[in-house]
Amino acid sequence: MTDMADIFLLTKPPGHHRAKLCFKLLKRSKDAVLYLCGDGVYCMFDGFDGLLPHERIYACKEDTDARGVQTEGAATVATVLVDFYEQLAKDMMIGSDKVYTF
Amino acid sequence: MRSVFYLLDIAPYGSEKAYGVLNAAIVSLKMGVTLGLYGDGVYLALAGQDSRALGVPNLADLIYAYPELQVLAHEPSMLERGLLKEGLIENIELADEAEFLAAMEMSDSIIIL
Repeated sequence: MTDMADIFLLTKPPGHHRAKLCFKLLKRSKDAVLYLCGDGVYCMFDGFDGLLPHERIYACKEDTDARGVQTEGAATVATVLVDFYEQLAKDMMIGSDKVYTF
Repeated sequence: MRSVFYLLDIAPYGSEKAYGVLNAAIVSLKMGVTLGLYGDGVYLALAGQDSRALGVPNLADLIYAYPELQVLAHEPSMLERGLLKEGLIENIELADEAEFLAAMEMSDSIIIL
């Protein structure tokens, strides 16, 4: 992740009004990284319409497993992490400008 | 001084979240604070609230009591809910989509309960 990126943490499914607000703000960001956990992993089914490259979208493996979100196909949509929270904490501490949590 | 944007997207009185967010915003007044009403949160903007029968504080009174609190209501959310023709609390400003999002981006912190 580049320095001073905006981190977006999304825990809501794609139809939720907070998810929609998250994507509105993300589109306006010059340098965004998206973290999906909880019900946010359901957003992987929608795809992201080129919003971000998959290398800048991270999903929490324990949440994708729990919800049956198939991670093999999802590899083209997001990077699924076993150490999701460690990575999130590291990015928040070292290289983020703003953190938006939905 | 860090600024904070509190987002309320839940209707008032059905839960305590609006009361909690308002109180949090009020104690943050020494910082640059904005309360953003979004989605169902825009119902807080309605004038003429009378919560006595519920036995809970009148949230509009809190907004009137602190006129220095900047409260922005998301205009598209109000339009979706048919509220633009209703009486609103005077110190509430309407913000279109771009203005509302810009206000969020300009704050150092965003808090959504």
